[in-house]
Amino acid sequence: MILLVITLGIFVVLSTYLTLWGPFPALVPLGASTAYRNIYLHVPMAMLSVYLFTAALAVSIIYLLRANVRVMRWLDSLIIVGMLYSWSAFVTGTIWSIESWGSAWSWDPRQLGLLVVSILYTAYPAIRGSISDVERSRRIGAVYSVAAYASVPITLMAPSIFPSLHPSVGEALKELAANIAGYMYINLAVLSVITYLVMSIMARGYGTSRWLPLMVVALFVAIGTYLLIPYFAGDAFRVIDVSTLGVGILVTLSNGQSISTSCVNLSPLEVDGQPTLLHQLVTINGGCVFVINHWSVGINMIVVGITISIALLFMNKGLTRIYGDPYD
Amino acid sequence: MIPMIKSLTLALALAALVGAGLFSLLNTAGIMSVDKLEYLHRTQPVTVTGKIVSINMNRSYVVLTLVGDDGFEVVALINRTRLEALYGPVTPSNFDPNVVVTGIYDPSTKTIYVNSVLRGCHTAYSQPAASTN
Repeated sequence: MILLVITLGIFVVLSTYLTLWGPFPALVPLGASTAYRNIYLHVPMAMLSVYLFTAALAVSIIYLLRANVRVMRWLDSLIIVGMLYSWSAFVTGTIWSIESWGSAWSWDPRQLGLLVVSILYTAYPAIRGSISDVERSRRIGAVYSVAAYASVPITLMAPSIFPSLHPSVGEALKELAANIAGYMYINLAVLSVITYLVMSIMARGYGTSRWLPLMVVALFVAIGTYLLIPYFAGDAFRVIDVSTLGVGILVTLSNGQSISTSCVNLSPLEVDGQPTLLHQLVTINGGCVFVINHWSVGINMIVVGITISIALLFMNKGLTRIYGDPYD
Repeated sequence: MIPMIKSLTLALALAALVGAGLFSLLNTAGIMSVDKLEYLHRTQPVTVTGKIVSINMNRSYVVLTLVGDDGFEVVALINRTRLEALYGPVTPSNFDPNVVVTGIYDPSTKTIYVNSVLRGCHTAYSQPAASTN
């Protein structure tokens, strides 16, 4: 439990650092490039859900070959946490896409596939809980888990097979600037440790730390809300034009204001002759232009916090109360 | 042993069903190619991808001619003010060779009244990193 608290603390600090100061792609096809800080939240959730469902497939087959209560507990914890993460990946991706794709819903095959995956695995606890014969419930659950997994590789490969707004599997991660990819993998690694610890506690019994879920959600809500302050205050404006002056630049904002300045907190200001400040969301203070995060990052911090908090709540509740299985 | 094999066989059969179902769903409900519009006979919302063969712009509209893989052409009519609110000042060079648009398709005029021009994020990932300091 102490290790879980420590890794949760590391995750909170790391996610805060990355969403406030983490690197992001300098030029993007649409909208504010700071929206790509969602990489540190959305991608680890999505990747982990795939790993958990894949592990669940293996555990299901083991259970079908050799029925074992301990194996069943692991299967049940893998699916309940994987299901939470897949919904989180769907919601954070949909919120992110409002800015970076131009629409929340675009019939993108990966987005649609992930929705189907999430719905399929959401049905698992309901199916398990609705069958009163415990042995039958476990066997049917394992069969269902194998069947539902068919949706996972199809969703993963969908951008390679159908027209898609997502990059193909591995394409984006291969091309990402080393520091962005590096930070993303570190966040993924920390979240993986948290996930394993939560599932181990679930698989053995239940957690006893009642304050932990509340603490986690409070921290993420606080950080997410902090990121949204400029929007609540009405201080955020879109840069709609940038031109170079002799000294400094002339920045035109969506509220009609133009400001001439050499004080901008963005680096670099130009890539291959294209201004990186264009389409960013900014606030103006003391003649300086401050690039701020797109609001989707703040909201997704809250979503991730809620996701982890619910996982901790499930951990406290215990598998017996979730599935109605005594595991004896 | 036999119940195990029966369960596994059932699981694999159901997996095949799920896989086929999802594949079919993604094939029909995902982002369509422009040439699929040839088979639509009533006005309806669509999300399509097509190759741009021409771009015309006036004060109010951006007019794209899109073509699918089998040569079927449609016109995509985009409100210029709305487009420039998202993208900033628009010129023909802003458009990629292939574009994804969402809007209402009228088969009688082969025109899509575009709500959004969507962009994939593919090119973003190969860019150098920026930071706010």
